[in-house]
This record gives sequence, C-alpha cells and structure tokens, in this order.
Amino acid sequence: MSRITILNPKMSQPVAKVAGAVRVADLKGAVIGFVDNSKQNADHFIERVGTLLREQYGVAAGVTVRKRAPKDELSAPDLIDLARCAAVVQCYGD
Amino acid sequence: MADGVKLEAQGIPTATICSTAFAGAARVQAAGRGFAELPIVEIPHPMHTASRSLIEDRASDAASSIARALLKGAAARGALGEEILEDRIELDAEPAALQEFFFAHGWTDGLPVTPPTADSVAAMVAASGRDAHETIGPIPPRMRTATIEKLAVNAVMAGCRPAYFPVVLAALEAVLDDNIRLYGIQTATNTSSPLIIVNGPIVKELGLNARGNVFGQGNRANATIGRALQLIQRNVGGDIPGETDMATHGHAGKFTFCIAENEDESPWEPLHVERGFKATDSTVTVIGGSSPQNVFTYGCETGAEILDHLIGALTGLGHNNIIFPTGPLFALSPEHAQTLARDGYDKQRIKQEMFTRARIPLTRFAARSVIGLHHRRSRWFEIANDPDHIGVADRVGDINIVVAGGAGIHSQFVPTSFSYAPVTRLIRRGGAA
Repeated sequence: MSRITILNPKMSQPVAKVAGAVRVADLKGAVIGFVDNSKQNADHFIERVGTLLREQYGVAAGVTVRKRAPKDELSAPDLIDLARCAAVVQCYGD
Repeated sequence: MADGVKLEAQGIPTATICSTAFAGAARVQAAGRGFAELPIVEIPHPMHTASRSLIEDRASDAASSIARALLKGAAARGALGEEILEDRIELDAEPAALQEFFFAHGWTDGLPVTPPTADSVAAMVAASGRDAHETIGPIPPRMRTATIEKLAVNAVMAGCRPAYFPVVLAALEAVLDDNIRLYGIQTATNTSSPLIIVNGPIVKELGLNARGNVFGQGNRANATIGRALQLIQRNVGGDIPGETDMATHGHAGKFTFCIAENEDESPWEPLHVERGFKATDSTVTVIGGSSPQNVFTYGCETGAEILDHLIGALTGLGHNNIIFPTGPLFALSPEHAQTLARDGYDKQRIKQEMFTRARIPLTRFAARSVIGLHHRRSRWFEIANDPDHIGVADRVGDINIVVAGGAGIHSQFVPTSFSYAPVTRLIRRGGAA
C-alpha cells in the first residue's frame, strides 16, 4: 500500500503561564469581593455564601460587582474595585 | 474563566464556582489562558432552575470549599493535556484508513475531510497572497495564534478550493474582532455560531450561492468556507463539543454557516455598502447567529402584511434578541423584499417599524425574568422611553437586513447573540486562484 504525508491541522502552543496569586493566610478580617455574572440565582447564591463566610470565617464584606452578561469580561472599573479585596469569589459557570 | 485568570494574574486569589456540568470546560478554558490551576469549586447542576431553598443549601455546602480555595495550602488541579502529533505525518494512503485516522484523532466535525497534503496546502497558501508564516490570532477558546499555513491545512480539509481561502481568512479576522465575542459564542450553552455573509463581486467569481436554499446544502463554496472557519475553531482554537463548547443543542450552523447576499434581486443597497464599503468591494460580514427561523407569509399580498409577519416572528417569547442587545438579523427573500419596496418600504423604514412595533409587554414575563431584563437590557430601559415593554433591539440601527434566497414567500429571522455588533472585513485577494 502506498504512503501519504499529510499536515497536522492541530497545533500545540505554549501558553504564557500565569502565576496564581498568593493565597490568603487567614480569612479572619479579610475583605472578600464577589462577582455576580448575572446568571439566574447567582445573586442568591452569593448572598448566602457571603453570610456564611462572615459568620463562620470572620471575613469582611467587600464589593459585589454584577456583570451585564455572563460572557462579558470584567470592566476596568470593576477590576479596580475588586483589586481592593483580599480575595474574590466569582459565581458562576452553570 | 477569563476574569478569574485576570484577577489571579493581578495577585488577587479567587475561587470560581462552577456547576458539575461545566467544571471541566472551565478548567480547559483557564488552561488556555495560562492558568490551568484556577481554583474551581464544583456545585451540583442545575442552578438556573433550582428553588431558592436549594440554592441556599448548595451555598451552605460550598462555603467551606470556597474558604479552602482562598487559603494557603489550597490544592490545585490542572486541566488534562491534549494529544499532539508531529506537524507532518506519514500514513497508509488507503482512503478509508486515512479517514479513520482523522476521526480517531479528533480532526473532523464528524464528516470525512480532504487529506491535507503538502501540495494542496501550498496551493491554498499561495492563493491567499500571504506569507505561510504570517500569523493570525489569538483564536479562542484556547487562545492560539496560527500561521497561514496551519489555517490552510484546515481549509484543505474542509474541501475549499484555493480561491476560497481569502474569504476564510477575512471571516476569521472578522470573528476575532472584539465586537463578535467569539469566546462567548463558542463556550455558551446557547445555540450560536458565527454567520458569514459574503458581499461584492467575489460572490459570482467564486460561485457562492445567494439564491434558493441559501442556508442549505448543495453549494461547495458556501459549504466549505463556513466549514473551514469551524474546523479552524476546532483544530486551532481547541473548541471541542463537551470540553469547551457547552451548547445545550448546537445547530446545523456549527457545521457551516455561510451565505451570500442576493444583490442582483435586491431592491436596496447591499449590506456592505450600507456598512460603508463600495459596491465593488468584496467583503465578509459576521455576527453570532442562532438557527434561522422561517417566516412564512401565507396569504400576504402587500408589504404591510409581510411586515406584520416579520414583526410577529420577533414578538414571541424565548428568542435570543429579547435577552441579548445584539439586534436581530433578517434574510429577506427577493419576493418579500421586492413587495416591500413596491409598497414604499426601504430598509430604514422596515427597521424603524420593527424597532417601534416589535415590543413585548413585560407582563408576559415572570418576575425574575423582568429583573434580569432590566439588568441585561439596561441600555434599552435607559434610552427607549418605554418602561412597560422590552424591544428586540436597543436602537434602530442594531437591526440588520440582507436579501438572500430564491423564489418563495419565506424569509428568515436569524436571532443573534453575544456579538455587540456585526463586523465587516474587506477580502484581501493577492494570490493566484
């Protein structure tokens, strides 16, 4: 049987690695921000999680930003607001 | 996922909540942006339709995992790697065995492909008039930048003639414009795919179909140009159903979604001229589109009656242009367009009537939907001065009309999504066909 050489349509490309943020040493007093991506019920989920994190871990309430649509990226003003937080919880992929 | 990676890069630790159905896709998408270890907390699916009490229970169950993800010592879990073969592969030339190889390695959309030999790829590159090593990208969802040669491999596989390749490249450059929001189109549960609309002299030069069955099968140029864009998204961008493409249903436009405007039978200026190009320019216009919905104007004899039906199609519940501010697209048949024109309607008047009349009373929606609409469509409520209805576009100019198709009293409403606006690009033609 004859042979054929074909070109690969896929590609491998090294992605510039992002160094993850240093985690929080202690949640007590840490200001936690939230991102509500506007999926249905994300607001209720955040409300409950925020309450529990305050009650059980002593976190301080930070800003909650709500995106116009789930697939929109955070705006520059939102990123500035969130940068004031010690950590951010984003809700959610569903 | 892009937000989480961006925040982590800025030194802000994150926890990203994902339902079980979407956690895998989230990890792949985060890996594509350089942070496969993005901390993801999984919760049960679904959330959208869960009761308030169930949402609260799931939040309670997730709280400790969220806390752990933010604290030092959090265990990271990366995305699975991909199989990568050499750039050139020697294979048994037996046709059936070749196709089985392509299927086995996930190179196709589920249909057989043309084997991409060095000669066929070189011919494709030559027809583009561009350097084989020139790059285009990054292409989502894995944000990869590809050479013209790599893109040509996919165009060959799709079945393109070399002369089609400049159209494929123009369409690719258009979908990478930020206004198209390709990443959202690719990864969402929504049924959406980039629609390519070709205008200008190239339509006849390449034999693109602008007439009967324009959204359907049977024309090589339409079928393979649209398919090439899809294969590029799959093989280069890494857009894989079930991994990154989380469409609930998908639609046939995810195989191929390319039409040409029927400029010869249109009573109006074509789309690309309306968008600032010369009639002699050849262009592609792209926008995120769902499956076209047929508007059958049985019994209608006048432009006004046809317009009533078109507006009627817009005022049903559940289509994308209620939620997305993108603005609907209509592909009007020549018969409809000519009847409308005969009765005094130009494109602007049709758009104005659609904008004014295609409004849905908010009383038809559930309370939570109304709250959501006030958020997602906030621009409408700011500028439309109509607090009791939701329109299908925020502004008249967001509605788009092309003339396409053959004889018959049918037009297509193409609900659009994700894209902020259509994007039109000139087709650069440099090489031999």
